[in-house]
Amino acid sequence: AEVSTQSTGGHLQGAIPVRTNSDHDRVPFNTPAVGCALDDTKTTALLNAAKESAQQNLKKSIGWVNGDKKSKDSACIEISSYTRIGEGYNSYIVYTIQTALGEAPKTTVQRRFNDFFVLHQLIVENYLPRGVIVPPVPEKNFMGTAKVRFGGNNENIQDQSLFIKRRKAALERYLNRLMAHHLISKDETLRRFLQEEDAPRPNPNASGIKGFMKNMETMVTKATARINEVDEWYEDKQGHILEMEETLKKILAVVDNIVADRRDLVAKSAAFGASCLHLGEGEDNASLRRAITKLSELENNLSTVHSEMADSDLFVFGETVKDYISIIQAAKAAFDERVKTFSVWESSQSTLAKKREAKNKATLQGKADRVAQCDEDIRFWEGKVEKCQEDFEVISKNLKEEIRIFEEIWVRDIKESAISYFQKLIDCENQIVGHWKEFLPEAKIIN
Amino acid sequence: SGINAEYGDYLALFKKTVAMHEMYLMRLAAHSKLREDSNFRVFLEYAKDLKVRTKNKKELIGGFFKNMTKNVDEALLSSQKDKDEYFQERRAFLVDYHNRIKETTRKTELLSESTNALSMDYMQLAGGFALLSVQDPQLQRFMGQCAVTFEVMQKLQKRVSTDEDLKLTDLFKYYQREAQAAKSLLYRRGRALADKDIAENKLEKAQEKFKDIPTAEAYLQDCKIRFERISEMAKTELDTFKARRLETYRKHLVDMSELQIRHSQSKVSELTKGLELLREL
Repeated sequence: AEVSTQSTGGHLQGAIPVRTNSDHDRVPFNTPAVGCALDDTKTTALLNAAKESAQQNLKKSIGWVNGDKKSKDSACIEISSYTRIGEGYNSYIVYTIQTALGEAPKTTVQRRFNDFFVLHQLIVENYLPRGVIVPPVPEKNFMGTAKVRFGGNNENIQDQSLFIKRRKAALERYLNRLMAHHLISKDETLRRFLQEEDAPRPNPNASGIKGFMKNMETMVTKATARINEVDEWYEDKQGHILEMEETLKKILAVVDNIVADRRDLVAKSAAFGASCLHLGEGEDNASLRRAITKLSELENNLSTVHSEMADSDLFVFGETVKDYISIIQAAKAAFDERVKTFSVWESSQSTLAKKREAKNKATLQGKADRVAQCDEDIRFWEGKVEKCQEDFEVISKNLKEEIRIFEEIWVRDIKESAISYFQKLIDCENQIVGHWKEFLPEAKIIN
Repeated sequence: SGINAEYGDYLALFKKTVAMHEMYLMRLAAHSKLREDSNFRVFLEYAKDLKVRTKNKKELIGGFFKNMTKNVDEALLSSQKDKDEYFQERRAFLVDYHNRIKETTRKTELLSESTNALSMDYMQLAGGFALLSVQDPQLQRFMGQCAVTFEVMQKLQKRVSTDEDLKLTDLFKYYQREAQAAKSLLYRRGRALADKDIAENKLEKAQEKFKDIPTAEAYLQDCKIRFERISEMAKTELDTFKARRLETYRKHLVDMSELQIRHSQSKVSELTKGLELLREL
């Protein structure tokens, strides 16, 4: 069914189609849902918790952006499930996206990863030139995808599960960030992505000759730019952002180490627990045998807690850090865009100067019709210079605002993330206390 | 903070060395025979510095050969039949237990290493938080607090690791060696039993040939006495070994539990305190 696209300036609060469940039947379910077969409840709980806090942030930011704290404008985008389509090399994962806007009924669509990628390219094309910091799309990952394609439903199911879960969570955060942006949330392409059956197609101009030429132009202008800044703010900010990027990369490396060491601890405590069981069986004293066996139980329990902590390190804290490293790349791109705009302005100024010179020459030579032509050119280029200046001023202003918003959201996100992380650690350490307290009486009665 | 970490390592090693040496000396003092040893007395009581001579070449080589023959003995005597049920059962138990505890000791060592690695990670995380605190004025106090909390977490994790090493790893290492020593005692007894059997055969042969009977009789008597003495001592030793092992396991496991409970509770309290402060910032 065609959806009425007439809406107030493309804002998503316009005509929203009601989808029925029959749409699900149109997706061929050849293999059992990978999502259903995996029962990793703890990871899911963590991801839900992370999603919860992301939703909270989203609601807050939408409210703030619209100057309205009420939930009337709140948007909630959720990737509720995923399925494998097809088998082997040609198989891929399809994600079910549910969108709820304010009080309007939910809409549901099916999208594969590539659709997100196309959406991202279209949004970048549209908004980057305006100096917008475009939320980054989750990376393509050849290894992870290959594992999923060839993995089947038995081998490496934990690996697959982790990869798909992380990607699903990342895609959800991506969509919610798009919705949190005051300009992008009103975008028609985004609306189509979230509501229409067919995903937006790539822009034909982006590939092919036209696109190639455009890319060449941008590459050349990028290389030669250097702005004589009136306002130091831009250089300062860029420096600050680069510094932040370095720090975040360091922190991510540390988090990766922590996760690796904790997963090692999971393995080593389980192995120790197993050897205790073996040792207990060889004991000649009944109370000692019991105690050593209980020690084995304890270590297995601790191993589970360590595993929970490792997931928390990764999902609660690590993913936030990782996201912001990508967002910083987008910020750098926005700064570069401003430089490009300046470059174009500069080059149009120099062209104008050339045209004026040409007019002088023609005047001296007394060629009247040439002079008239030059006048026309000059008028054209004066207009161009004015437009370029305007463009530069607009992008400079936008960028400042974008950075301001970015800094606010960054502070809020990282604080939220750190607090959740602390909470999870407290939780786990309390569990550890509990397990040792269970064991202590067993040790005391050795006799 | 690098210095703090190194000091933590030094302290841990110091604690461990003290504990090991103390345990050794107390064992000697508790032993009815060994406590009488004059070397031991000198070690404990001589007021000035001791001059200890290390093994000279002859003693080193002698020790090497002794080890070799011991292994051969062990192989031969493990197939020896013993009429005494107590010793038969004890030997079977010790051989089996020694194998099991060897495995457990290895796994405990690996676990200890892994626990220790985490403390360094916490230190680095604290460093990362500190960087953010310095670079971003809006996060200065928040991240500063995070850094402080994780510095404490590093200290606590180091204590977790040290105590695990001291109470668990060292326990199993020690009793692996004790089990080996007990096995060794049983083999010496087995040797004495074998000697006695050989002496009995020699006497029989001497009686058949009517030659050197008194020598053979005297030798057999010596072997009998030696065998009885070693059997008596072995029984006492094995009984005290069993009792001592129970007591040591109990003490170490209880201490370990109490310490780990305390460390985890400290972690919870530190994190909770930090969290409260973070919520306000």
